[in-house]
Amino acid sequence: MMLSSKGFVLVTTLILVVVVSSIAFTMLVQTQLSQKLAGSATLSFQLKQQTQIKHLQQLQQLKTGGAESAIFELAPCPALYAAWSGITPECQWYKVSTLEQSGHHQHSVTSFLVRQSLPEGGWDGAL
Amino acid sequence: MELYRLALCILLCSHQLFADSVWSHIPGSGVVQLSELNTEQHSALAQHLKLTSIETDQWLDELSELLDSLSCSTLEQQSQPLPDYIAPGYKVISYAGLLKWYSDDQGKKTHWWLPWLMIPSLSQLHTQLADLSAQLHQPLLLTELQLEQKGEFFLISGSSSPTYFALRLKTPEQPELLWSVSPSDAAFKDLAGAMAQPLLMQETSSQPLAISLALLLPNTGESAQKTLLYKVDLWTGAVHARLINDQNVSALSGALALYDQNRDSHPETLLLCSKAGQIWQAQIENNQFYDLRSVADISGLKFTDVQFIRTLYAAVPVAGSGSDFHSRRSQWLLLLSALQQQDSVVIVLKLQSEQNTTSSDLVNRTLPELPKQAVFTEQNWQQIQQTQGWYSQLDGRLTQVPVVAAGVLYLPLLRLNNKDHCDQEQASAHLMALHLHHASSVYRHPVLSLEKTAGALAVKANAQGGFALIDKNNQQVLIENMLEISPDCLHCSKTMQQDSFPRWQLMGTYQNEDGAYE
Repeated sequence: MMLSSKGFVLVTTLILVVVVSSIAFTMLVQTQLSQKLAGSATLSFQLKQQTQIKHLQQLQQLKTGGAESAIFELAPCPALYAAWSGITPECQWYKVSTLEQSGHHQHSVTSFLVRQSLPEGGWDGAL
Repeated sequence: MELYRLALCILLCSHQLFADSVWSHIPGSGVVQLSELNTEQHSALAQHLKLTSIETDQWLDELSELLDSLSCSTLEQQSQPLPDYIAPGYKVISYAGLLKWYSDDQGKKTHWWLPWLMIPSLSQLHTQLADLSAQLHQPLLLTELQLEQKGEFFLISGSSSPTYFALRLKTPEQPELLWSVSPSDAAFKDLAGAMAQPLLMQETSSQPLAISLALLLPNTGESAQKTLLYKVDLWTGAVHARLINDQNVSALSGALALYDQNRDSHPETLLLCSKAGQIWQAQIENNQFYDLRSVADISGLKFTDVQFIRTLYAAVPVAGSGSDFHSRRSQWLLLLSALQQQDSVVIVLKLQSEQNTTSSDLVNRTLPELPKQAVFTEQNWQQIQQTQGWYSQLDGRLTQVPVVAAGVLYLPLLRLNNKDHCDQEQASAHLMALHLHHASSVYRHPVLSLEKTAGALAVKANAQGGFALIDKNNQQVLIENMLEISPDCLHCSKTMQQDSFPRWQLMGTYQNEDGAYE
């Protein structure tokens, strides 16, 4: 009788230990996950910010002629409020893409721009 | 001594007689100079004129005088310059199809081209020219750039005979008739009128990268014709296609325009109109015309003829709250100028496929005589946004195709004397500048007086870092510093600067994010 009650206490203690440790482990894992989640948002934000800053720099460089980008013929000039007839400005369409990676995460920003210039001949030279 | 004087007189007189060279094309004989006809050609001319041989000689003697009497200084202001590689300093003008190319330099010869069918009715031409609509349409000049062949130059013209013809010029003294079409040709038997400016169209042929050139020749006239328009080969005049009149279109004007409605870089929509102001459009694909339908009927404004039709693609403010200048719609605008007796009316209307615009859908934006009386309220603005466009009656006749530069509509005008249309002394030239979207004045003065009638308008960079509007024919500066309209407010405008080009416009940005953190 004495022996069976001792076994019961042992089993109960063991079960208790298992339950407590599993709770503790879960909590630890949860905390770690929370930290990761919290960190990922920060990292994602940082990555986005980084990509956007780089993209803006690329756009600025493109406008000053210091960067290359894909030029393509998509359509004629977009409609302008201050429209032209006869002599129409020449339009080139540009696609500027910026891609930044951090680990397995990536963020890309793509912009489409139109460069409007005046056609050569008739415009050049002073009167 | 007497003999010497006589010889000198004969020399001077004959020089005077043949100072101009007069060309025509006698069927069967080719291109001839009328002062140098052989017997056979002389008798062909006599037969054509229904005169005897002696009467023909007399006619030839009086020809120079007759041609000089045609000279019309107000009309000559509409002349177009010939390219320098053909004849530097030469200009060309059409008197209802009779062509004259000349130079202001007195030492250079004047040349005339008389379409063969017009020769018997030359004496009536002066009367015909009093009709302003006969003065409207000038020949189409095709340079080496358009023809893609170095040194080539063509003149395509219609005439009152009625005939359409194509001349090739190597030098001013060497006209060559490429082709001529008239109702006597089986393919053109219902050609009733050719007082129009033909239109050049490029089309991609079956061979890759090859572009062929074709011409569109309208069949003008008072009644309804079976064929509205011929599409012909530029080099031979052979008919490729015709636009059949299945809508009972009558009294077609000579004004035409071709535009790229679907914006795929290939113009495929043709706009044509009646003299009264009914506007139709038709689709053209390869050698097929289809879907001819009415797009607007503004005949309520009582036009006598339509001068020009052009289209332009613009961002048009749309109806909303009056102060919102940022809501705009991209759409095609139709720019039309028409005659109401002596004076022109300019119309800007929004091309909309689902609606047939009438004159009541347009807002009258005629400028008052005194600029101070010009009022433009918020209500007027909303009315323009909600309706199909505006029209403005001009004080004078438009002499060139209007130009829209940076949202400002430039209109070269000529106010004629009622009695004599050709009296330059009595005529006064002006330039008018209007806001494209609401026809208000953009510059301090809406109308600018000019010394000479403006020819073709062009924009050129100036030394002050801005842009000037110039008259290409007379090399006169019309506007020193051009303005551009701004979408910031109703009357906003600013000086157009060279260093503001090239301009960048951000059309859109998109972001993409994928992957995971460990």
